[in-house]
Amino acid sequence: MHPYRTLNVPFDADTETVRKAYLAAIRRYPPEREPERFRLISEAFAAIATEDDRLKREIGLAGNASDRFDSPLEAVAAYWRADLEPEPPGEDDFHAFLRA
Amino acid sequence: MAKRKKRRIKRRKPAEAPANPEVVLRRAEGQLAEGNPKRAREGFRRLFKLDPDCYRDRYVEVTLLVIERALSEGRPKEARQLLNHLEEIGTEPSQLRALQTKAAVELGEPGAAAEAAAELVESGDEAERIEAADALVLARAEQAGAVCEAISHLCRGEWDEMKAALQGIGRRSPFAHWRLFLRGCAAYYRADPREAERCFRRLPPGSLPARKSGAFKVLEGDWQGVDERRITEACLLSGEPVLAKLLPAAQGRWLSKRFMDAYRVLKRERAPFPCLEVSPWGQLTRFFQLADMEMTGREKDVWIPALLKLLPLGGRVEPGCESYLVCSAALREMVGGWEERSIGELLWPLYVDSRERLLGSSARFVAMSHFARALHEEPEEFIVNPFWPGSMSPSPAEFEPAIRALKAAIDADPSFQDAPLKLLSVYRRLRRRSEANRLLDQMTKRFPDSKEVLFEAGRACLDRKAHAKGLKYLGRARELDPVDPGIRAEIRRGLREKAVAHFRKGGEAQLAKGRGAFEELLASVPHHPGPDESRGFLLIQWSVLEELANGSEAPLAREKYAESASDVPPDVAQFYRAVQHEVFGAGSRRGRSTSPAVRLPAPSPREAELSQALQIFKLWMKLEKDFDGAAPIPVMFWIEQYARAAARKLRREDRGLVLQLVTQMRHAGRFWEDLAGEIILKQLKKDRRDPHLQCMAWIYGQRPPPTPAQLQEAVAEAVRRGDRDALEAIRRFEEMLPQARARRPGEPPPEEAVLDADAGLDGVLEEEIEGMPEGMLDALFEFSHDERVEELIEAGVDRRQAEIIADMIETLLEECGGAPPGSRPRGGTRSGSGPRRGGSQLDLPF
Repeated sequence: MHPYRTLNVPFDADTETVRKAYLAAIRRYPPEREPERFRLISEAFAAIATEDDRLKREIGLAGNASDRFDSPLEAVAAYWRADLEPEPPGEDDFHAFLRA
Repeated sequence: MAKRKKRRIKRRKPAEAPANPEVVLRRAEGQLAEGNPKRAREGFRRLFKLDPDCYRDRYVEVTLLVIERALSEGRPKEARQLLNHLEEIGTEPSQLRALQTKAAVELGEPGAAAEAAAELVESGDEAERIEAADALVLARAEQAGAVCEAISHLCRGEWDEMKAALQGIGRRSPFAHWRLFLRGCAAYYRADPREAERCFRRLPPGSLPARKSGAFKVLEGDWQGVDERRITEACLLSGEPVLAKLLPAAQGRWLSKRFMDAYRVLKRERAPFPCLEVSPWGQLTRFFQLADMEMTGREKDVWIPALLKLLPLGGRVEPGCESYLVCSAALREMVGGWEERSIGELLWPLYVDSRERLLGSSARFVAMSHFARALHEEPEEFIVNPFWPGSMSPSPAEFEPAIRALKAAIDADPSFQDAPLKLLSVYRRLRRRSEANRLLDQMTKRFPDSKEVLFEAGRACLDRKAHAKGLKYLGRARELDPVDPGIRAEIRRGLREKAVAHFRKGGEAQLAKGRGAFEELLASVPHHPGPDESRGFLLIQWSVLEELANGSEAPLAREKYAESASDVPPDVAQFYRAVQHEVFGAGSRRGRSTSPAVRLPAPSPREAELSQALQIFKLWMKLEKDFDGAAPIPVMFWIEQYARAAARKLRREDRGLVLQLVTQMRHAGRFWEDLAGEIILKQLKKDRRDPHLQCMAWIYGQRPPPTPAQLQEAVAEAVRRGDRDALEAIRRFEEMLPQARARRPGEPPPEEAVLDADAGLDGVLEEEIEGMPEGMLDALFEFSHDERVEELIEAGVDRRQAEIIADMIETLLEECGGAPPGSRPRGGTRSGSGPRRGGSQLDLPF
């Protein structure tokens, strides 16, 4: 899980910013239409809703189970998976991807 | 000085001996048939030189085979050389185009690929056309203009335009699979992974789009077992070309346990690493920050010192992201020795400074970091033996670092309530009640609206018998969180204790308050009540208190008791009522001797049921504390009689209940353990090979300690039956066995350890055996198990001892392979039993 990526807020976002991002996200992905995404958004919000939540996560007091990875790739893959709206790469990057 | 030229002696290559073409041809065909086209080609080459017209076709055919193999094995340069050679000898170009395209693609030459593919895309077979189309797209050739235009729209997020561009590609076009692929890509970016998956599944296998679609799966989280190329593709697809270069290398190094190398790789190419941004680099920073949590002790011993080397020794360290990462990982792992503490004191200011520089100052962060350290510093209870109760508590001095850290956390940010709550729990562990109460008073003033604080304050008041005050705190906590089950349970406990206290005080006013508390309790019975929390038990308790407190209310009590019969089995109700009389009668006016309920009748075997025995036992375990250790004899006698009566008519199906009952009895004292032992032996008679019951018999000492072979046999039986609980019980039992503990892996068990383990039981039985009439012991070897037990009982041996002796004889007979009794030396029950000592280490399937 990467709550900041899911809610699309910066690492130093304050409580109000996180709350607004959460409300915007659930408006975009309501539970009746997008139950899976709604679950991800709710989990992300619960993880960083308050300053204490964010600090506990930062220090390693909370969210450890979903934050511990066995390898760098696993960590990056979790980041990619947390992205609710992935953006396409640039045209050159896409061709580089095809040639790779 | 003139340089002396070395005379180069040219070795003359031995001239190829003229060979018989028939022999060469036969050999080459044979090599081809064996699957070695490269060798076969050598033969055909010689034949082609001898007679080009005759052997050309065969030579070209075999060379094409070699080229295909070279391409499939990743040797495109070799393939290119052979293709050029075929061109030189005048091979038909149409024969070469497909392979030329493939080689150009593999060599990363889009122009050459396009040139070769241009004709093929119109005239080749299906597979060749697809391959040619892929090459044209890679080369961004004119023929692939529609696909390239669609890619351009895709990358700009222009879905409708992309669709329009793809419209021109017909179903039969060699680019048709690109239409499918790009639709799948668009579906992925439009957050429709199912549609993407559907499109990707329909791609022709082996085509470029089919190969590339795997990268989307990595982005979806399916990263297990992917190779470096797929990682690179996924990174490029996510728009991270620098990460595409570095991540595969870092991943490889990490998996081969070269942790610091993996870290260093990510710092190459001016990568934004480490950082605290919301990006893959920030995620990698967090990964390395917490990596120690997933490491073994030995890996940490390598990782943490290597991380610390990133901070320059002696010089001033600039606070930043790297120092923050290093300090946070190092401080987490540095709990313990004094030398580590001194490093910790150096790191702490750097840690706080770095964080402040990156994300601004925060008192709460400092408080929470102290708190985190306290959690690491707080000593844990050390459990001595998993099978028997009791633990070795740490000394008060061991708590001091945690207390200091918690006080520092409170000083850093007094509004951080977790720190005082944790300090409260530490004080409770240390039984420092006055400090705990003082802290609670401060906390209720500082956090008047905190559910957690109000809950703790309520609990503390109930412990001090200040029920009214405790219930007030808990009531406020419930207002803040009406569904918290912990608060509700504590309120029920408070109400019950309050009701009992009022009834014990006596007097009409007090009784009215007590009744009020009971009414409130009855209104808040949980959905899943504890052993004595259901409505029936509450009514029984109420009726007993009414009886004992005021004779004039006896009708009400009888009414309540009758009402209770609905959800409590009669025997359990009778028992509970008796126990309540015992608990509350001692100090009352009427006293226990006048209570008719105390004189419990001996249960009839027909009425006693094991499920009720289990319920009664659970109740007893909960109520025992009310007697301050002095259990009343009538109640004890009744429970024993009841459990015996219930065990008398055990059936095979009762196994589950028996296991529950004896597991509960394990820590309940000598009396209960003896009773449990008897029940286990009875149940074992129903199924002698039951591995779980056998294990319980060993634990309770009803059977002699097992040999490794017996343990292995029990494990095999548990595996055969699929009994996971039995396996777990045997595993834990094996851990407890002294011989297993004393043994190193691969080392045979020491004889002394086996003897020590058995010594206690042998010592007890030695007297019985020595006191037997001459010849009786030998005669016992002739009998069956049950006959042995009967014989021993007739000889005056206690039934339990008789069972054990009979079991031991059975074990000895099994070990000696049914040796004649005369061969067994008298006096030592264990001597000469070879397999018992020499068994291999237990091989448990976990």
